[in-house]
Amino acid sequence: MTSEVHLNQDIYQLMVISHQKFMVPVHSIVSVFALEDILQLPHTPDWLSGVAHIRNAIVPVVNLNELIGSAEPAIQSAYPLLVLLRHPRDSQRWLALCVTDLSSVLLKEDLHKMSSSSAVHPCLKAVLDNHSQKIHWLDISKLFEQLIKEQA
Amino acid sequence: MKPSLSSATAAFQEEALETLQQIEQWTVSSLQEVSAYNEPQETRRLLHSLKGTAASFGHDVMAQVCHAIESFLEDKQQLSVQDSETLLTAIDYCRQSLNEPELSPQLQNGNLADCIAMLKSQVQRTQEPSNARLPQEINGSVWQIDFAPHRQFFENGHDPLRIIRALRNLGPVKVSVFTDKLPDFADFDPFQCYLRWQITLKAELDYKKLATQFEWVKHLCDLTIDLLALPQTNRLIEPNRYKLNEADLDSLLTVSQTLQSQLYKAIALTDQLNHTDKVRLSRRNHAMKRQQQLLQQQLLQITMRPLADAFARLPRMAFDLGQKTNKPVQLHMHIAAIELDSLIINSLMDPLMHLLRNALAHGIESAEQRQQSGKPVNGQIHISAEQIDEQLLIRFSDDGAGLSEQQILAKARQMGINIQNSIKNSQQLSEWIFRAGFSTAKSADAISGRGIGLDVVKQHVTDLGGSIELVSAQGKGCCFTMNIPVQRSLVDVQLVSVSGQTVALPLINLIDSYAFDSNRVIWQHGKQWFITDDSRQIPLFDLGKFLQLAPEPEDDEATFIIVLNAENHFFAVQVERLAEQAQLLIKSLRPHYRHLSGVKGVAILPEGSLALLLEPGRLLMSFSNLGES
Repeated sequence: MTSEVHLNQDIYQLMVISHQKFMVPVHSIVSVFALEDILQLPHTPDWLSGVAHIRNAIVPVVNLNELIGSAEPAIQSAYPLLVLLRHPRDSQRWLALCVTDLSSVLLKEDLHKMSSSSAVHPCLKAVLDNHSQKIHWLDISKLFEQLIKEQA
Repeated sequence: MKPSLSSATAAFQEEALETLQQIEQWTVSSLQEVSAYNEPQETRRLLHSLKGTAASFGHDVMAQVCHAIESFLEDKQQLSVQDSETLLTAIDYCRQSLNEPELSPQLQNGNLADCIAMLKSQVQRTQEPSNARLPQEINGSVWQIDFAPHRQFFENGHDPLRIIRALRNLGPVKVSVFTDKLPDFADFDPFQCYLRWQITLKAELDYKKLATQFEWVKHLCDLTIDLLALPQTNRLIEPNRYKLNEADLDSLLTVSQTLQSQLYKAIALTDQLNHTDKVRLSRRNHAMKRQQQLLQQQLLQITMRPLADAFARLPRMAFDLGQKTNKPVQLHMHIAAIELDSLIINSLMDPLMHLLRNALAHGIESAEQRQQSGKPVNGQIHISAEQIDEQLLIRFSDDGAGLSEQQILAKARQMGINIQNSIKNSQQLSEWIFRAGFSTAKSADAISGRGIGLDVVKQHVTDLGGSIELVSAQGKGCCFTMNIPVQRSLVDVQLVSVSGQTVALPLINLIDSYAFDSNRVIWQHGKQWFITDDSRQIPLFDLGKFLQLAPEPEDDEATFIIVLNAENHFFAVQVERLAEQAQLLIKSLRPHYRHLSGVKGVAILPEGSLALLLEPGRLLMSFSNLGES
């Protein structure tokens, strides 16, 4: 079991948001939904699309492109994919990401071959270069912190 | 699949324990100032029902004890302390016989004899077996009436059919006639009544009203009236017969939501069909969607529990600890009649019991000490719980000895806390008290050790995202105040539409609503708009602006004004449409997101979509801030 958990931590899911690519550890993904009903909240930052009722909880929905200040505008389709992520240390805390598409998974060995550069946003661990395509490595803990930071 | 006998026995055991707890609550509440427990007749009904079920399951020991308790309670209007003690001992005996079925028959019989003898000696008279007659004032919704007129029933012109017709006026009846006493034709006397009837009546009324229908013939018939079902309101507070754990409920809710999502997708596909198929499929989809909504609502309701459940064990505990420590206490509980997330209810039980144990062991003084201090002999413990905005506020106070500041400082020094640099205000003292291992009790005791547990209490409360504070005055007592965020609750709301978005307003804050017309003057002073309502000048705010919604094309004919009251400050908002009023499940934005000023939570609408529930008090403050900015 321990080795499985260890192995899971070495697998990453590649997500496409508009034309930007992001990766998160597979084990941090709770589920993927096609959900159309996002309730916008007043007086919240632009990167918070709103909240959705997922798995019996009111979950904040984050628009990553807005958050990292990507020049590329996010596509808000009528039925966006929502990727539900759990907090690394608190399985009861969730957030959802608006995602255009989920593509392949990446193994740790593949990632080692890629060159990396420092992140442009606190919620990113690094930016990896895969055949001249940038992959943003998401720091999920920092992303959750970002939600808490808004309380200040 | 048929349930196995062992599962049926387990269900009986669980129900029996619940019933015993309810009887216990009634017993203790008759001594304490505790609201919302059973009426005496309801307790007798529970007892009678338990006796019958126990006998059906071959649990003769319990059936006999229940019978003895019934006899014990007969004609008792008020329980003395001794009565309560006797009754509680008998209840404990029933519990023990349920939990320890492996006891030897000799030991069981010996205990049973002792228990029954104890009940009888308290009564001090031999009781005849109870007929378990129904109390006159009991209410019901389904009744079974066995009506057997005597032979001479017709002599004074009485007519059984007239009585049945009268019953039919009360509600739907199902009548069975029994002809087994009908003689041969040769012996038949048309002036005698040979028939008897069994009538099932479905009507919400009290026993007395039903019995009145037979008032004129009661000496001419054998009549038995049995209650088959309580009124709906009573059934709602009946203990759950089926148990689901939280994980099962969450799974069911997830299934329901997945179903909802699939239905929405299916509806989207109907556009690709021809007109006839589209209409057919739309109808099917509509019906399925409605069923899914009902399922969702029912499941959400199941996750809620009455707040009073968290406090249910305290009266018995106070009674027992009072007896054990020889410190009689009077418990005053005022618990709001609301339903909250079962997670909160379950998590509160242990900390509340900790507080009660500590109060009895270390707070409340002996009767002699209390008399010397000029306090009432009985220790007074007050517990209140209510929901204020998004917070559950619990106050737990006693009029005991309170905490000694000197002792707290001495203990703090002993624990190596640098008290020189600390501000020794009441808040600081309170924080020390909640540290692990911090106790000012001089000696440990069997009830609460050395007063340990306050750190555990704090941990339980902080785990719920709440806070706990202690205010203590030496010689006067302690007061613990707990604030716990409520993440799920049921709230009565008025749904409105603002710039095309559905918004929920708490019905309790709604003073008035009317269609916008020219009879009421709307005027502007500076930047602020006002509406003249019954000669009051009420500020009128733009809800769409607060919600940051793009304004819809203006249509004054179709708008409404809603007057709200926020802590005696009246203000009005303009909305496009008044929708229905409903009791909706409200979920907090926390723990996944922060609290937003002016937003009380998110309401789950019947069709599964979401709406913001606004908080009028904070909304008013937000409007003021928006106006200033």
